[in-house]
Amino acid sequence: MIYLENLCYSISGREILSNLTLTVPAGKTLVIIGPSGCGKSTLLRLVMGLIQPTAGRILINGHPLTAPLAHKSSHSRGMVFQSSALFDFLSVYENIAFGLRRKRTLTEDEIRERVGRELAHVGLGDDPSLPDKMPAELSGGMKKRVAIARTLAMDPEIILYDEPTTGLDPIMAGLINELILLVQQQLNVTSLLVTHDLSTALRVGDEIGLLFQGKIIEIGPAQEIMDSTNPILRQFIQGDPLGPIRTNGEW
Amino acid sequence: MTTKPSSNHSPIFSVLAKFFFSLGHVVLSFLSMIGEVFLYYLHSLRSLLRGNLDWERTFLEMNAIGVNSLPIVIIISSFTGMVISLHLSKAFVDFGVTSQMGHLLTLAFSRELAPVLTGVVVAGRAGSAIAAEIGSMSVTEQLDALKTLSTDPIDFLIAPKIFASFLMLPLLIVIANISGVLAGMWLAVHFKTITVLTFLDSILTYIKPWDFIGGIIKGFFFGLIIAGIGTYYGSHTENGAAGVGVSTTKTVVASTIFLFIINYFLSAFLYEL
Repeated sequence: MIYLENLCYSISGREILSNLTLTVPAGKTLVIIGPSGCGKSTLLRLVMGLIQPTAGRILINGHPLTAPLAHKSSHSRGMVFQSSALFDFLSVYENIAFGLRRKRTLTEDEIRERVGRELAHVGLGDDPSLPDKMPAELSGGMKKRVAIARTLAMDPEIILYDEPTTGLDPIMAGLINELILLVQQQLNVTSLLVTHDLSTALRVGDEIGLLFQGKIIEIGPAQEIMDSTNPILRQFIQGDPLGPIRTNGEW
Repeated sequence: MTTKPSSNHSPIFSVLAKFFFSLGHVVLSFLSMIGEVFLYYLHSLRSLLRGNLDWERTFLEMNAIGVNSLPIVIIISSFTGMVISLHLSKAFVDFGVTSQMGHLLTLAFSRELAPVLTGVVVAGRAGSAIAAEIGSMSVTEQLDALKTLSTDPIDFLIAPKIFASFLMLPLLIVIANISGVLAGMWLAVHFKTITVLTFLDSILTYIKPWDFIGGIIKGFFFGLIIAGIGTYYGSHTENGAAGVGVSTTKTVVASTIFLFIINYFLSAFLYEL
């Protein structure tokens, strides 16, 4: 379970998140939607421990998140980055094996078996030449799937997805959506996903929340969100340039 | 939080205020950079002492920074040795002191030319590569991805570069010394200014081991400066690919300036000048 309590984050005097409180129940997927620059990715980076909140606290499965990420175990959480963030100096195999090697608990045979299993998990198990390919040789969708496989290899209880379908064609985006659902159903992980792609939000979210001006202004199941009369939510859903969400980069 | 100077004053005051505001900003940025680079050194040392240093990466970096820089170091130091020898031959023949050639050429190389030339070459080649690699990893979220896989970027990325640079610069300086002096001797002998024996005798008579050791000690400092500055600008890269280009340029410029400044103080200290 992820629990955020009165979470605040400011940078250079600008408040990005303001007294944000929300809960993601264990085994559920919460999707955060919102206009560009509203702090969605910042929220994920805070939950992942990559940055520290200026106030408030984060509880992961009941335990407060305090120390910077690199100095403590992060095995319970995994993150799929918007850019996939595959290490471009390592092959696909080495990318997926990277975290397993750093754990130093598995033999090379066990790592090989795990890498094969995770590639099959994301639908990339059929191509025998894939593990030796470098990230630069992969399409955007394949990179995303390898990034998901790398995250799954660490057996996380919580997965954070940052704009998982951005930049992908509709078919590949649909495939990634199905993969996220499959992972959630098979592994019963808790997921927090941020996106501005409404179709992804509706497809994978148990609940959807709209982040605006640093706060969650509306949260609920997909149908409730679609039926909401909140003018900010209506403008976002309808993609209307006119309304409370200004399009000049400000709110 | 910094506050910009108010504009409700006389023009001279405003100009002065802006000047001191800018000066203060530059000084603070400089001190911040020095502080952060020293933290990299301390964290790298901690990484070594705790046994967290990634030795495989360190050897790869030693190859990239040291072995791959060898050809350019040899070429530059050889031709520098030859051109100095060319100048000295002409002047020393005129003054009838050709027996001093080996001594002077070796002194110049061991104390100054080999360390500085090697430092500048490695700053341009490896320093910029360090900034580009870390910078591109930063803008593509790979540094964050390392952290999410329970890997400290200092243990995995930064410490190997710092140790590799620290260890390889002195070795490259030794090679630069040998190449420069041998090439200079070859040219002097080739133009019949001097015999090999006279050249070597001049070196053995006047050159002290400390002349070489001092130059090699400079290499350790230069290695730290190049890797530290490359890492600093790399990890502060912003604005995508264009930002990577800016970081590499800043690294080469800042490393070169620091090398020359530190070289002055090291020379004064090491050779008691």
